[in-house]
Amino acid sequence: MSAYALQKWVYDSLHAGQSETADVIELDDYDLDESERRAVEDNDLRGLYQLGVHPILFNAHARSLGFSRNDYRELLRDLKDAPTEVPRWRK
Amino acid sequence: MAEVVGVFASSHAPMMTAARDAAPRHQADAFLGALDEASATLVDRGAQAVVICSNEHFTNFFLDNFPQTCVGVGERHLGPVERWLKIDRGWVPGAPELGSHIARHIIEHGHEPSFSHELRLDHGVMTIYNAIDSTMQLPLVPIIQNCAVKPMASLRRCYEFGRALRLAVEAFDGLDAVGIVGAGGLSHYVGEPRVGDIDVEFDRWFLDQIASGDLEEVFSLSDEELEQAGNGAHEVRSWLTIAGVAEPVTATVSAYEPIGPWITGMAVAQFS
Repeated sequence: MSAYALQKWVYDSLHAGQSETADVIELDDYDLDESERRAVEDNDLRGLYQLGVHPILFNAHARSLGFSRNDYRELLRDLKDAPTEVPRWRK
Repeated sequence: MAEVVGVFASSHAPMMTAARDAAPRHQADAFLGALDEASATLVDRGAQAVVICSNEHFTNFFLDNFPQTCVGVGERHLGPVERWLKIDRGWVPGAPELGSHIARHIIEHGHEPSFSHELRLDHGVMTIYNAIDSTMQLPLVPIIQNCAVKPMASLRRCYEFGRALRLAVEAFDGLDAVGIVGAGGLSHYVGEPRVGDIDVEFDRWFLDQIASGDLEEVFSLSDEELEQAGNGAHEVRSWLTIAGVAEPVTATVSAYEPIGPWITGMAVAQFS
């Protein structure tokens, strides 16, 4: 399933946080499946990453929750992608 | 017709203003000193407006409508959106006539940027604009580029856009002198398990290509190969745009510092 609705919630939440006049964000207004809703409600950063939230949105959301970059680096440590090829600048 | 009086590209990182002291002092001084020197060159040559090409960070656009390029034609722009950036939030004067002219001229010459009368400015623009004019009086045309959400414009296309941008500015008869700046990169990871890693080899290789003026190797990078230097490395699109502005490319790299606390390879290059 697309992570569009989940990312929309993250985006809207971040922008509401930046605005003094933004509308309240209601989770029920977003078409989230069970796992997505649970990740949001549990502040499950690792879950949000694995569900496909865009990294830029993920970073901003993590920081808004008080997580440092080192915090989520550690949280996601075992999810590093293995390099698929040696890039030309290392050959 | 307007003269392009200063062309430079610089890395940006929110921590360069929000956490300057977190960086080793000699590194921060080297990078920021080079940025200040490039900025002063533009100002000393009498720039009456500046065009800054930088990257979208979901500040203005979401996936419902994500332009590859957006020209800010507004009369003024609010920034920075980040209240923790240690840059006073305020209204940056726009250059609506210049911006509208750029949008129109570039469309007439083979590109299709979107435009906006209401762009919000984040660290991508504001850290560099603040270095150029901390009093926020110099009129600004922000050009926001997609460097984060696939599919993205090719690296070559960004260079070609820069070429068209220069032609557009030089065809504008409302001002005498305009500076054009690119802001982004170099290697960094955001929102990824490798956040904090800096690919010094990539950064030095990329800067060597820029300094050589021969960018065919860079143009041949696939997205997959480029992002082995970090998902943030896609922001070199702004550098390539500036290279296109400066064609033929003659660049002097005035600083390169891999600044760990800023999680980014930080560089400045001036183009003649």
